[in-house]
Amino acid sequence: MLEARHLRFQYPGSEETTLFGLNFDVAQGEIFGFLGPSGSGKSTTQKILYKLLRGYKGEARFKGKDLDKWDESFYRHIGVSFELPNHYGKLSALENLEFFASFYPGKTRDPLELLASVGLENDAGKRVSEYSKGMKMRLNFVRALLHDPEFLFLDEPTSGLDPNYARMIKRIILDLKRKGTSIFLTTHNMTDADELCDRVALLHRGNIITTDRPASLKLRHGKREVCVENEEGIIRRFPLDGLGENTGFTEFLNSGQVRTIHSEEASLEDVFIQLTGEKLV
Amino acid sequence: MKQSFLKLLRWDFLLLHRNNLVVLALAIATVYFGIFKLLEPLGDLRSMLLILVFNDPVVTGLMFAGVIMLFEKNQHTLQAIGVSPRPVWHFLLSKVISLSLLATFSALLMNLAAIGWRFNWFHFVAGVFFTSALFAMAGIYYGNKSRDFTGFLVSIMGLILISALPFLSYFGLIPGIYMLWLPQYAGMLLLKAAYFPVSIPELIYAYAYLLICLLYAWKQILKNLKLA
Repeated sequence: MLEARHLRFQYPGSEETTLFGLNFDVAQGEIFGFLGPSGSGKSTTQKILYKLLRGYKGEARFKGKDLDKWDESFYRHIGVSFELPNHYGKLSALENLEFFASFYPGKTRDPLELLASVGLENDAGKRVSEYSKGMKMRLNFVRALLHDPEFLFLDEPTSGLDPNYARMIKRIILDLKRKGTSIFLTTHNMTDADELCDRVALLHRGNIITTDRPASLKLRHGKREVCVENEEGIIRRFPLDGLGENTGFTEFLNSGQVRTIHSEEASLEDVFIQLTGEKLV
Repeated sequence: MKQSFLKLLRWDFLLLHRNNLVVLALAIATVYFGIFKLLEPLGDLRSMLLILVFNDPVVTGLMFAGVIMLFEKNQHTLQAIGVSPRPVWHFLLSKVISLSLLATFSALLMNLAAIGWRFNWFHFVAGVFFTSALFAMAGIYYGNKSRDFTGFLVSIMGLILISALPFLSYFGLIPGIYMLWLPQYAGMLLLKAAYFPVSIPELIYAYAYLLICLLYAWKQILKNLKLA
């Protein structure tokens, strides 16, 4: 669906290069995570991909066609949910959705149904200026779905949401994926990335340092060990290989009540720190 | 296309209304309406009217457009519009037209209060509408570039001062020929033509120059508009 080859970018007037030849692609029905700390080039990449920034070098293609060759019809295929809320505060949520729906030719989804899907049905008539940040973020999210796009750009979709609503949004994202929607997810929330993404790219100072499935990354960069803690608070680690035949492991299990037992694969945060020496946030 | 543009225009009027700008424009026009009614016994008000009517599209166009752009920036709505299939120029044109219609309506209200129906409608409407459109484009340009309202006010100071220059010629202090480069002078000539006789070459100049300036300003805002 979306491909980037040797994507480079330098802001006009700046001497520093922001993106150094990024290569990645997003397949149909895939959730592709783009992870990196602030200033790594996530936003710049996204703005290039939804054509708000011009002047890039390299190639960026959507459905096999260069982004430069797409006209406004490009935006019928994609939906964008920005990191910051973008609505008219003096209009109600329903009016905001009706306003943006009027930009699309043909039928769009029922705004009330969309609002209900994120728990905003009772506040549909309320002015957005009276909304909390979480409500605005939910409204942001459903606005991107108005025209049923086949490709979604989601920037920190669960930012500012309480756990219940974050779960609600994640469920909708997974439903969309099941229906074949491709999703480019930008986040620094490792739990979201782990739960949602088929593949992730780790971005650091304008370079992609690795791209893989979250599970593969965690395995590759974790320790093949299991960590056991008993009721006395004694912690022991055993190699995963040959664990069944490891007499030390079985003796430790039999020596008292086990409090916790964990395999020691890395978290995505650990992977990022290992590869860059820096934290994600 | 025409239908959807009319819809956009309707949304813009709703936004103007919700931001209290329609009420404000009508309140200003009503105050002038009252003043002119009071001054009616003094006789011919056309000279004073021209100055006030000329200022109205300047204020409505420049200030209102600037404020609207600042609202759009603060609410990050430009980004959302930029990723929709609606060409951005539709959105800008709708803003320019809605503000110019509002300015034209309030200027007509003032005019009717002051001198009734005794004026050239065509030149009057063209003068107010084109001047307002030009200043709305300037407001969009500077509003889009400014970080906040103070920054916007600072950036338009020069423009407001220059807009007063045609009055020097109107009061006979400077020959009109020195003002020909100013689109504001062309706009004022059209208003003058609504009340007083103006020569054909002057009218041709006024219409042609205003249209050229409108096209130039339009190209500039399309070229320089920052959505993100």
